[in-house]
Amino acid sequence: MILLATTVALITLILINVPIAVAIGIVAVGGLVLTPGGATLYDLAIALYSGSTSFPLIAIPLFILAGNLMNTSGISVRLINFVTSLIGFVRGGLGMVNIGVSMVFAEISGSAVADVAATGTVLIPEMKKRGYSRTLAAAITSSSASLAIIIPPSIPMILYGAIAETSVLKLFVAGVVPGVLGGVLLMAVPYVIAVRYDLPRADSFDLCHVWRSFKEAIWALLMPVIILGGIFSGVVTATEGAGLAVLAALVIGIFIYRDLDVSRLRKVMLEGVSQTGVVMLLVATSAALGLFLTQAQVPQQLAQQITELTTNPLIVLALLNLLLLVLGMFLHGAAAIILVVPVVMPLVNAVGIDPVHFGIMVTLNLAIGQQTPPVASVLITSCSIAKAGIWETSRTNLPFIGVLAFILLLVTYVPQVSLALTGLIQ
Amino acid sequence: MVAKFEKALLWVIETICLALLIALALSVIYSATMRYLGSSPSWYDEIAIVLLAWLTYFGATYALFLRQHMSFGGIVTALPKHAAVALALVSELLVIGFFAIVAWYGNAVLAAAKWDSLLSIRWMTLDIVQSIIPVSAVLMIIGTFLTMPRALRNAAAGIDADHAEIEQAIAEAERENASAFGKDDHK
Repeated sequence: MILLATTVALITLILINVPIAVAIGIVAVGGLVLTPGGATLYDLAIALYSGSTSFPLIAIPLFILAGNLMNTSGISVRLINFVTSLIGFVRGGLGMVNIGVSMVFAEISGSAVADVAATGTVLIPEMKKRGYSRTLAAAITSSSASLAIIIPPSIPMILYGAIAETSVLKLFVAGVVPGVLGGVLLMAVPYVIAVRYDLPRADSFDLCHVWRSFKEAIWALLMPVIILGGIFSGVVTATEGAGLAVLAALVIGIFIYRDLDVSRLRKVMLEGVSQTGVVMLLVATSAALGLFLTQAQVPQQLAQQITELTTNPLIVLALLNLLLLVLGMFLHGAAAIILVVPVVMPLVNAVGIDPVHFGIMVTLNLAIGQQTPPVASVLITSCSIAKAGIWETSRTNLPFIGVLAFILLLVTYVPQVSLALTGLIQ
Repeated sequence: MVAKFEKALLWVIETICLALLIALALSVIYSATMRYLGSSPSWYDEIAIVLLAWLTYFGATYALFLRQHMSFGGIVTALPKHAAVALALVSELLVIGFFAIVAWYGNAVLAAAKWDSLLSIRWMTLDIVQSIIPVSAVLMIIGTFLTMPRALRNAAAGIDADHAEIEQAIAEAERENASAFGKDDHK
């Protein structure tokens, strides 16, 4: 009953355009005032402070800053040139380039919109010139950008790790196999479409061109190697890796590519500050909501009610997938993680689901959620660049969503797909 | 006059945010370096967390001034003009009411917090550290009032903040790409 009332109040506030973070806070205030219990509004004020002081979350502003620096330093353009020289000659190659660049670029900037804008504004016009329909160009860009969520480093994974008190390093490692597998399968879709509709190849293969574009892109390619190599090998922690990413992006932007001056740097940093404030205020107000929900024993009751019906992890996983998919259609990724994870974690633990495994499931569901209107900022950005209709693009996007859904099912019911590599780390 | 005040206040908030972000990045990089040199700074964990909390709330205040917080404007913008403005006004008042409660209770808990201090900087009592909650709440109330006329105009004109953000991101990316291509062409 309390969960239902909380959900209805939250949805109502969000629908009348109250910022989601504030809507969560208002529901927390209402809950604490209206329900009996020990916690009061004094505790709410304390929770708002302590909610923003989880140590793993320090990585968020730093990865956001590093991502924004990469976006501004022309790194995306250089990556696109290199990947095009490498696989552009294959039929459907430009679509594959789009997916390949997203996999390297990954979603570290906290703003999926900014990432799609960075790659899409280069690749979508090029794809249209080469005979790709508007909707196909938008669908490829949109789905590949969403896949990047599960390829580390990933802000949603850091958020999940902090909320579920799970190792961010293990989550990063667990995302590698599903991410690469998803990328390869997504690449097959433009190939099949290109063969069927006889789309032209982008360029012929030229080793000299590959070498030239490789030399241009080498620093951009080294970024993920340095950051992920450092984190996975245990040389640096995830938070230190984020600091390293900032340092590397600054050195590359200022001294190597020379695209960063003081005014650009200030602008990029302020964008990072704003994105951090948006995500972190959500985290803080959700801590206040958590205070009320825990006082009302909502997560525990939910876990108890569902485990009375079934303790079969397969059924519980299916129910959780359904819940996350529906929520992903209506909520931004970070908001969905922050709202759902604290409520369902007792259930996840009760039926013995590995929290790292569940974390990858959550992230994949959100990737699909970014593709499904009405709240689908990545899809909408791609459509805006391609000047394509959202619903027409959604139809073209179905095979790509199908691939993401297949990866989700694989990850859900074959936990080894995500967990196998985590055994290699301490 | 109001516009000048808003601009000056925003400049102050921007400057504080930049200082906090730089301090946080430097402290993480310094700590990682010192760890490898065999002398991890003892203050790192505690100070980095305080910096994060302050960055969270000053960053959230900055985002509020720019109206960049996540929201769902689809329903409001689809309504007729008067209904859209009325709902937008209700939304604004709810935001102000929430931050007024946060400011009041955030200030009230400081009385107890002043008896404790950070372990690494003893003179820094926790009421100073946690004052970020009422201070930022008051700033967010001011920010909501200052930017409310724009928000109501947008609601009346049926402009969705999400779409405006997307258009802006695309325009900026096109400028960045043009600049990168331009540089490459000159090489």
